[in-house]
Amino acid sequence: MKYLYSYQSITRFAKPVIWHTYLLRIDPQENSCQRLVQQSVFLEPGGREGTGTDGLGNKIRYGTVMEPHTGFTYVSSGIVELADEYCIPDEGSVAPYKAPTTLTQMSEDMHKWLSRMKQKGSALEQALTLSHRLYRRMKYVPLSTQNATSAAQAFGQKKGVCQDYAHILLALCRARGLTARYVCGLIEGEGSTHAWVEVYGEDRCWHGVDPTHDTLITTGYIKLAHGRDVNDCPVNRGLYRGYTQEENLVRVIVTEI
Amino acid sequence: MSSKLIESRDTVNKWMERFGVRFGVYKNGVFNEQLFPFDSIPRVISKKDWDELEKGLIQRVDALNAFLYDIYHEKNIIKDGVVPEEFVYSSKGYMPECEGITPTLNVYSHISGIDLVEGKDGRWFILEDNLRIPSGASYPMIARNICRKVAPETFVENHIADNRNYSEILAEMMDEMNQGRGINVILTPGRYNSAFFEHSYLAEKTGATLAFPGDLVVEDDVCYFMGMYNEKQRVGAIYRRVSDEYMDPMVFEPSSLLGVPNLFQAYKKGNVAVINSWGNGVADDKGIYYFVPKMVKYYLNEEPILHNAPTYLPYYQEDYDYILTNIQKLVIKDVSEAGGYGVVFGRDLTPEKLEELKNLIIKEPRRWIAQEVIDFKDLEILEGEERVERKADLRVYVVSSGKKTVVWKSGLTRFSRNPNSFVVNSSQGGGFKDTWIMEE
Repeated sequence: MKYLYSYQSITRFAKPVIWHTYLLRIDPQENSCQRLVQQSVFLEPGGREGTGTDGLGNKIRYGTVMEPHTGFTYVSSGIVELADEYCIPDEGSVAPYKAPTTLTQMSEDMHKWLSRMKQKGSALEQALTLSHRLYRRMKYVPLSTQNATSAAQAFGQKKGVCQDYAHILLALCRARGLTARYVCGLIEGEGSTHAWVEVYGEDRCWHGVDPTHDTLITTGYIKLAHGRDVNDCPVNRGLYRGYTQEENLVRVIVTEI
Repeated sequence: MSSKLIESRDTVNKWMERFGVRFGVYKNGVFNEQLFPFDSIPRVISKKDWDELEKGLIQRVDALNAFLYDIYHEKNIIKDGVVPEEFVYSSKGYMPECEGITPTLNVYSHISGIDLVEGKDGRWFILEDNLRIPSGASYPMIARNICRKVAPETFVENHIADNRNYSEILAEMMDEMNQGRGINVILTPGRYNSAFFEHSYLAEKTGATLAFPGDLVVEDDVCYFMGMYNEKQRVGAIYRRVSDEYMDPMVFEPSSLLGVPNLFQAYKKGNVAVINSWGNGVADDKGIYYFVPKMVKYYLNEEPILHNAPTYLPYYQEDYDYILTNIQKLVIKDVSEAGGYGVVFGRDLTPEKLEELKNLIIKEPRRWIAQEVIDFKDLEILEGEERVERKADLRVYVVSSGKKTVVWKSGLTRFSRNPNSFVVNSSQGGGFKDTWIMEE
């Protein structure tokens, strides 16, 4: 199935800024179940731009705008063809996704909660069971957490957003000895970026689990980047010089065509 | 040994104070600069001992560099089962961002600070490898200079290896890494860094430009130094004294203002050498230390010349059993950074605490290592006018430039002023000595 996607970000600065450096992950990945049919990307002001991949294989765009500017806008849009099944073969080394990270440490409460559950089934079945139980515990509350909120904190307060759901599920999966990673991407009807989890199965494939919606992912999820947690794959990161207020507006559109 | 030199302790310290030889300490949020007390009785290392140490250190550092290359490329040492993968990937120092990147001439650890102790029986043991940004070389450099001034005849009468070549060794390595691409810079976090004195001193001595955060900029994957009038000079090699996490806010710690945005991309493209390279923490991790002698065998096919302190990993059944039965005579170290247990001596624990620690080891064996307590050789120091014995260690600096690995014939001997302490850290009130490497 084919999807039209558009990711737009507009940032306005109240006063001009200079020496603005950025690094973006706004290109859909290309893998055996996701093909980029057409794409266009533009940035304003353009400046000098480089492209490449990061250490985990995500596509990146980066550059510097030295001259004074009062706005920074970028758009990535195109058509992506997705397979019916979310299953990405990977013969490489997946060990980095086994160990907990700073944001995905288990708390005592999480250990206790986890120990009350039986461990059975394949890696994917286990992840789905955990997702299911987690979904019943948590409440989706926009703005209830921050970017640096850890899995343990969100678990403790029983509320969060997609990033927190994904971090908690990652912590639980890894505590069970599963290999799992954080994914950031786009889905229909979200209006912003979304986060989900990939679990490495016995079939040496990555399978998608969306804990925020408590589902096994099949299609309709456009993947931008993956990492051990959100810190490995933020959509955008920037730094500039200037003393100013900034305002950022993000729009995401995904439509099946 | 020259009594004149030993009597001139106070003179040397006065000179050092004048030269601004100090280190900064943060205590309760307040930055204070302290002097680093110099003790005038030198540590003397015989030529025979040194020759052995030198060979062993070169071997060790070469193996560590080979390991780092392997970990970020083929990972053969894991595939061949020599190092278990969880020790690598759960190490905080492992950086997946570095996967597949080849630094200039394949060198990861250009400047290695290897910490050793001498046992009472004269055998040397490696305590730890510091492959990120080991500091301290400026102290023996400047102390020796002053000693030569206050007691010149000492250095005529004794055949002591001249240590005034460290800046040459460094400059030569930087030039090699630079490959004629531009200027050499030393990047300092700034004057509030505890080792700022050293950064400026090394820049002066090596002829490199001292750069502060904000002096460097990356454009089109090339790094430039911005001069006073914003004129740009291309940079070929950066000896940075900023840690990995703070070096590029686009890739690592986003709040860092000490780094150079997008420097990582310039490094990745091979347009600038970063000294030391990114990702070295995986090789100087407490849990990886155990495997270093195995690396020597694996990569160089040689017998390791230098020995680790006898170390046990509860990860292995045999070691696990040994640790649980002998815990009261061992020193236990927590390798997980978040842990907070740090270093504990089994003999200092009450039976209840000992049981508690055992249970922690049983629960998470991967988190711990255990070592035999080494009976250090004490060194004499002057306390007032009296000679007393104190614990001391030795940091030796090893410089690698791809073509060759050199050991600087000097080192930083640190001692503890507290008679009961094994901790020789300079921020805990210890002092240092000159280290004489004898030529015959």
